[in-house]
Amino acid sequence: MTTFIHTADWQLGKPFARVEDFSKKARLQQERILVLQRIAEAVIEYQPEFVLVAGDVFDSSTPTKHTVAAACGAIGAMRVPVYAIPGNHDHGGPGCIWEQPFFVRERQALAPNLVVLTASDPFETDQIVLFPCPLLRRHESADPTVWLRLIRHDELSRFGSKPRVVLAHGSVQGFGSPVDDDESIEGGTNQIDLSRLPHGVFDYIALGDWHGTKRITDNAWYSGTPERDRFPKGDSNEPGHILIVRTERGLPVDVERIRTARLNWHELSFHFAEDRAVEELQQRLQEMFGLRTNEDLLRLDVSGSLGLIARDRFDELLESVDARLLRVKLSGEVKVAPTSGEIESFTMRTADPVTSRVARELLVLASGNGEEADVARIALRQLHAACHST
Amino acid sequence: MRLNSITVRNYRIHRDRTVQLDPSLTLIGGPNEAGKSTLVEAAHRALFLKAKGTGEAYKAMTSRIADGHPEVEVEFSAGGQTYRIFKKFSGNNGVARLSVNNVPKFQGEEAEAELASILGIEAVSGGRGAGDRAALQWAHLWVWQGQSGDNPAAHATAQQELLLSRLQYGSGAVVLQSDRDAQIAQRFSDLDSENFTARKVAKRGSNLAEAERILKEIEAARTQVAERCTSLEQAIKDFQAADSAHRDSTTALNSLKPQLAVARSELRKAEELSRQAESLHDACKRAKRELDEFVKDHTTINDLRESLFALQDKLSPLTLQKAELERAAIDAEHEYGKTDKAHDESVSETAKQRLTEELARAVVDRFNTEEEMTLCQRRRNDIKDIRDRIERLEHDKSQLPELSKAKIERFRETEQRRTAAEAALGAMATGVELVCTDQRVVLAGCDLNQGEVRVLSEPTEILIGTAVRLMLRPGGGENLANAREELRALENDLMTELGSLGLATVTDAERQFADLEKLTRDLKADRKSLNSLDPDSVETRFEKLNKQYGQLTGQITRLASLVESFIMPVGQDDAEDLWRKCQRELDAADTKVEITKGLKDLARTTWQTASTSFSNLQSRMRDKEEQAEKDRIRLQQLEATHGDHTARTTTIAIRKESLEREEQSHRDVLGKIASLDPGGLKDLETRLERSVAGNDLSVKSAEISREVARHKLTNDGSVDPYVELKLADSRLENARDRFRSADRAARAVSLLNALFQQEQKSLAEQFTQPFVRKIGDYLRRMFGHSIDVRLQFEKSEFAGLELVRKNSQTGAIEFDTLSAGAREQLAAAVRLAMAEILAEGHDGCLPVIFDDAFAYSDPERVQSLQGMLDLAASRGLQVIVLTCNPTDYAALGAKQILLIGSGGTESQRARNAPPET
Repeated sequence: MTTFIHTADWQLGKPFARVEDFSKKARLQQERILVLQRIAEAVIEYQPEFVLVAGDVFDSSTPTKHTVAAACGAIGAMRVPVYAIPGNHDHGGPGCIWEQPFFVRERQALAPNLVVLTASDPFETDQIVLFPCPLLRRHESADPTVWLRLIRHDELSRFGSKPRVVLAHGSVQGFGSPVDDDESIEGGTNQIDLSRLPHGVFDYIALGDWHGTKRITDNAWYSGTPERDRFPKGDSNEPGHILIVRTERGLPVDVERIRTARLNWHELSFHFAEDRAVEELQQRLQEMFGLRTNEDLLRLDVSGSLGLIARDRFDELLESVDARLLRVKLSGEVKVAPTSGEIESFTMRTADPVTSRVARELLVLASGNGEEADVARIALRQLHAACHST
Repeated sequence: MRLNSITVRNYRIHRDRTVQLDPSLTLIGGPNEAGKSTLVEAAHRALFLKAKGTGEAYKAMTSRIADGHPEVEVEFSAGGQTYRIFKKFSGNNGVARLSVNNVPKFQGEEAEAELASILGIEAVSGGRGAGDRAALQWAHLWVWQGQSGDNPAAHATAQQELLLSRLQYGSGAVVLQSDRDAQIAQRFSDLDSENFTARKVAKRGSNLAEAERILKEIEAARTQVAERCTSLEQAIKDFQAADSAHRDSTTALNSLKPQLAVARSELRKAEELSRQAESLHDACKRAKRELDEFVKDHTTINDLRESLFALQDKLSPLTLQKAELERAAIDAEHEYGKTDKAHDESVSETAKQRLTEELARAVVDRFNTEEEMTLCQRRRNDIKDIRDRIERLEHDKSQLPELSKAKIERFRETEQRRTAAEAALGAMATGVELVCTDQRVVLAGCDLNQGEVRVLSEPTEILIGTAVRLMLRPGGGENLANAREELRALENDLMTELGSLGLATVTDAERQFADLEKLTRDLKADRKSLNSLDPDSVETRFEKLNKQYGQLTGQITRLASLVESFIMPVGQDDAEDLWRKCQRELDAADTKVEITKGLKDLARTTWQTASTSFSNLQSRMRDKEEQAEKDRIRLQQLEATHGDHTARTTTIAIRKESLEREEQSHRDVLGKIASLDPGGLKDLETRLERSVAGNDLSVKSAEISREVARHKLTNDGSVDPYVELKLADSRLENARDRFRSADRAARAVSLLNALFQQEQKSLAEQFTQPFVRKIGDYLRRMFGHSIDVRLQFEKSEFAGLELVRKNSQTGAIEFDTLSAGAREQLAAAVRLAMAEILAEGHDGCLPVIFDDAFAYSDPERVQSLQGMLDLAASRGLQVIVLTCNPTDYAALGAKQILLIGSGGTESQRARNAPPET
């Protein structure tokens, strides 16, 4: 029986580019290093013989020295051998991070336990035989597991009864890393076809790339990323775990899921049907985060419309939430639609006839669609503000 | 409100003066310094400056000619009451009194307050600048001297509140922007001008410009970062490409190099065989050349032998022919000698004959000349006779008087007139006949007898008896005497002229003239005959013949000495016979010369032909003989070296056999070379060498490229370009969002500003229209319908006062750019229109004072101005005009007041009355 930890998609050095606040950005980046400490704690707790990282240790193929040093330090702290393959983010090939002199130096100094498998050849240890399928470029059009289909049976016999574990990074049949804020759309590459692998030859297939924890077959799993780095998408996404895998040659594998994530990523869709809905939203958010600060991220999808005053209240609410959370990602649009009372107070200003006439003109313009109407709606809000401050 | 009278005492130059004003039109005239302006200034002070007070304004009122404090009293009507305000400007003791309908009602401050209330103003207290402050009161109605050209829009703005409320009331427009409207509008206008320049470009420092600047900076930064990533991607591609190229080239080299070695070895073999073949080929060529030369010599020997035989055959008949030709040539030479001699003889004979013939011809010619000379002499004699006759005739002619046909005609005419005169005298004469008498009749002193007839041609006295005396006057008077006188004169003339020619009568003259004419005719005939004989040419001819005769005689003498036995003929006929004979003999001699010459030419040709034929044959034979000799010598030499015929044939056979052997060897070697294909081998070697060199180069180049790419890909880990790119993208997106939002906010402000301006303008236009219409009414009195005016109410003030000339290309003309004259006229129209509108709050009347307000208007324009002032009066305004030139305003129909001195010495006259002086 061999026990090991299966993890992937650490994506160290991820920039969180859409987070503008520097300290929040640093907090998010730091959390990705801190989760490695929690994995080190799991090593102590579950006593695995080694750790497998199925690709994307780094977020890019050119991480900075600072990121490399932090990564090597955290890996060194795990105390057991760590076997990793290059993923699409930190792919091998010319100029890759794995060949850069400063990486080589840091690895030797801080993480001598780290072995990066950049060749598609069987790698045998005392306990196990690894079949790495490294990516040597960001977009590999060929299936990186093809070589596994070609291994002759007699070649395998020399590995005796050591469990045989495949390490691969890519999409299997509709599962793969979804696009997030920091990435451009990509698709059709790094596809892995598990169904074509010879049956019964491999005991476990450790997959990376899909950020949620996902079982594909009994012995093929995506471990997912140990700390979330994007908003959830779809029901089958359960990121924030590592897997404790126990395997023996020719026997069913035992997989245990351990939660490692700390940050909370939320998603909320909200429709404004009336002005009071602003207060409802406030209530919902209160329920979600309470008095917590700097530990949550929210994607808020809004729709509907609000009166001028309510719209101001919504903006104030958003401002407050944005300050408390690590990030608020707003999508959709809340249109400005003055209430009948607001319209009346605008257009029936007998004491200020010019303002009243201007407001009437603006209301006509704002009732349409398109850029002109958008500008007119902004003008309405400005006029409203001016009326209340003069 | 209407001013009725002004009284001033001790006020600057005025001692005590009262002026009664017309309710409608008053014209105050007077020279400069007469105190016109001072008078209206005093009225203004009384109305608007508090009596109690000190300062410059008060000092200025002090009289220069009298003691005592300045006093002003103004009577005016307002609200159906008649007021009289009296003010004494005596510093802090100033007095103010207000009477209503002649009843004193208010004093001091009460009076001041009441007055201010009636006038609708706040009274100005004394102190610093009190004069200037006071002057501002009713400045729209009170045109101070020198201010008539000021832009009246400022006054309209100062009176805005009153004006607008009147206009609003008048136009029926109930809407007017509120203060808050104005504030909000101003706020958006300010914001818009903070955002944009006049050209609608984002202003530096504005949110929008800042957002745009940041966006551009971030875009530029993003481009840089992206370039770094692209460069890394490219380096990876370059590395992979170089690596692949290196691999391909190395593989190719491993296969190419052994192929090249084999090709080179084969090529060396082929080169050795080629050298062998070349040597064999040279040997063959040499043997062939020697064989060919031997065969050629063998043939030459045979040919020489045959040609020698042929030459000898040809030479033997030619030798015979040569001897014959030589003999013929000698014969021909003899013949030529004979003919030549005969020809010389005949030529000599001909020369003799020719001399004889020439001599005979000269003799004949001399006879002919002699004959001609005789004929010529005869004609010379005829000429001499005619010349003698002409001389005679001319002599006869000179003896006759000089008469001409005209002279004869005159004589005849005179004669006829004389005869006519004589006949007239005869006709005039009176015949007297005494038929019977018994008394003595004495006629002209002579007694007339009975039956006697006398003819009287002159007045003649007749005595009959003793008692009767008659005077007979033939012709009735003097005619008879005249006729006689004329006859006498004619006879005298005729006699004088005839006498000068030595003639007696006219008949003599006619006869003499007939003789003269005949002589003239004869002379003419003789001269014509003489001319027809041509005496000059006859003389010339005679001289020529004479000369010719001498020459012929000389020639005959010379020829006769040369010709032997010549018998000189005696007559002309003999001579001619001899000449003909000589001619015939000469012809015969000439013919003989021709014949001998023909024979001589023929003999020479024959001789030349024979001689040429001989020498030709001789030279032809000499060539052949020389050729035969040469051939013989050559044949002997060749036979000496090549042997006889048998020996030569054997040698040829041996050499042919040897040659064939050599050629076979050469063909064998060539076959071996062909089987190796050296051309193909060379091509293969070249191709392989090229290929190897190319691949070597590719390997080196790939190594360099790989190194360069590796170097580019080596990272010191200070930055992560991909992360930087993500950050840059994100920053760019944020900047775009911010720019979009700033842009929209700025456009929203612009929209608001535009809407406010539009609404304000539309409101302003509603109530400025009646004002503009009224100004237009006044202007039309001056300029007719060709002018329009524009005035706008914008941002709480009247502005944009412009004149528009209809049908003009120049467009609107701003007030400040008008001429000084047009400015004061337009300003007056605006003031009147304003006064008219404001008058509605003052019982429909307000005074408008023009103090020397049309200084720049020419007299013609001043005339049309009066129409405008009259319109104002007719609309209820009280117009008061101050001028130095009251005559310019004669047509105004105003009440005129003429100020002359400083104290009450003014004259006044009612409206429409002649001025008093």
